[in-house]
Amino acid sequence: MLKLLRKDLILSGRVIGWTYAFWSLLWLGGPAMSGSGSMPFGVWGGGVSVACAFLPIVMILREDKFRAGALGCSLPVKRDSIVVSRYLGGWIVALVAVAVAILAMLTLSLFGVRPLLPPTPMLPVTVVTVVGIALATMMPVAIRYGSAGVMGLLVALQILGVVVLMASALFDVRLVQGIESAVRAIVRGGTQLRGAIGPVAFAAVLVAAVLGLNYASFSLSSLLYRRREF
Amino acid sequence: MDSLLEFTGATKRFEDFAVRDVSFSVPPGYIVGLVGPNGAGKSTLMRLALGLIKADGGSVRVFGTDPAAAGRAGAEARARVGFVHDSPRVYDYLSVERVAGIVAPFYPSWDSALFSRLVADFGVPPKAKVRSLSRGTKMKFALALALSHRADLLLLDEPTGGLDPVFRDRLLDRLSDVIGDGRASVLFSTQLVTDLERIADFIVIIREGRVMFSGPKDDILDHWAVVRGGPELAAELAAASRRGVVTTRQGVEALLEDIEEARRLFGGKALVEKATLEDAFLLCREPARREK
Repeated sequence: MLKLLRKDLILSGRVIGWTYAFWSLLWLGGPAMSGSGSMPFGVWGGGVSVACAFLPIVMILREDKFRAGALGCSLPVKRDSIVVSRYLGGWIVALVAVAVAILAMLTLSLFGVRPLLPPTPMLPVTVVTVVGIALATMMPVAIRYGSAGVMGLLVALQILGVVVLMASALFDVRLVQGIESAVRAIVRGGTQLRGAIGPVAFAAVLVAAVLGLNYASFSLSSLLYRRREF
Repeated sequence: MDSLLEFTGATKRFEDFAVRDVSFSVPPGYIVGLVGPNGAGKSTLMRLALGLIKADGGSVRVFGTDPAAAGRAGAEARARVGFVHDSPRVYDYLSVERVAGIVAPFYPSWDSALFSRLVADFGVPPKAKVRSLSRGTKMKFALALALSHRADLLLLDEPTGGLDPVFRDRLLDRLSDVIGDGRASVLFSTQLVTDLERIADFIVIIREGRVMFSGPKDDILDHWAVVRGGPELAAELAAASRRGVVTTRQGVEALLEDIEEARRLFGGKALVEKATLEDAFLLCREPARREK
């Protein structure tokens, strides 16, 4: 497992570094320059988490570009081990990247830049939840279908959004409102659950749900990767 | 287990191409040459042997195991296999020694000293980026990787492609050394019949996804005949040959499996010569039937 993790990090270290450096300019520079101080740290952390969850996906797409999947699958390792290393490595890369961004933002605030509302104890849970949902959604597509699959997923989601907006506008279908209500209902449900069981238990339930989702995603990815041909 | 690699009726279908009913084996201590024109299915057979694709029918066994099996057995089989893909499948912005450093830990039997010796011997600069190497040097690098963990089975997909004649000669010598102790075997695909004449013990001729011949090289060189005659012999040659008849501008050429019989049947009316591997490669048209 460590050999696979090491291989992936060596092979993709440079592209991850460049991607991360570029994004850092956006997520550190943007808030620092706005100076409004109205964005909660958790919301900013959530956005950074989504971006960082793309880093392991970039690793997989990079492998696709160089057709190096054939090399990995020619080595004496089980395909399931390759998938495990993708998830484990993905979590490590994403969480380390978010942690570094948060530390950088906190350091900036020590030097007088206070563009965000202060962090709350729920910040780590927010990060784990966002990273977990993003990875669980994208990993099976990236692992089985590579760059074409991820691009297809992202384009399909965008087209779906456009269709929803157009349908709402043209046919007076209340799709957008429906989606908004669904999101509000989920948030309300979460808030009620949190109120009922307390913040610590709520955080535990949330993290357990995210881990469960990732396990399901991992199982699907393993199944798909076993069938992938190079 | 008699064979290190065994195809038994293996079939793999793609949208526009298929290899069908492929059967041959690679016994320990021998070099098997897989020869066929572009698009014949050589790389598909190599990918089947490495477990990169799964057979739709029949079976492929490497050290008695399905190489595409998801479990530990497939991985253990691959640990004993050295491979060279038809084109390098590595991140080309890394240096030669960096790529070797990535691959080495996966093989318990990796011999760093041997790798260093091989890259020096092959003239591959260890500090150079893979992308800066010529196609031939990339192939040499891939060969050094394949040979450095003392594999029991080498699967080499067109390893001589892009190599200069001098190095090709040295490579073929080295492959002969690899099987020297009778333990290891080599399956290597090529379009160059001259490579096979030098070192192959067994020949597999593949065309349009079907094995046309598989058997000892000496069967062809010692017994087979090529008969060249006028167009009036076409029907007679077609009846006598179960290997292949090709009509050319000059007349008809046919492969016969028994040179004595060929001389007896056509000695007076056509040119009968011992077949070369090139003749077999060019003329073999009929699928193999039950050769070993």
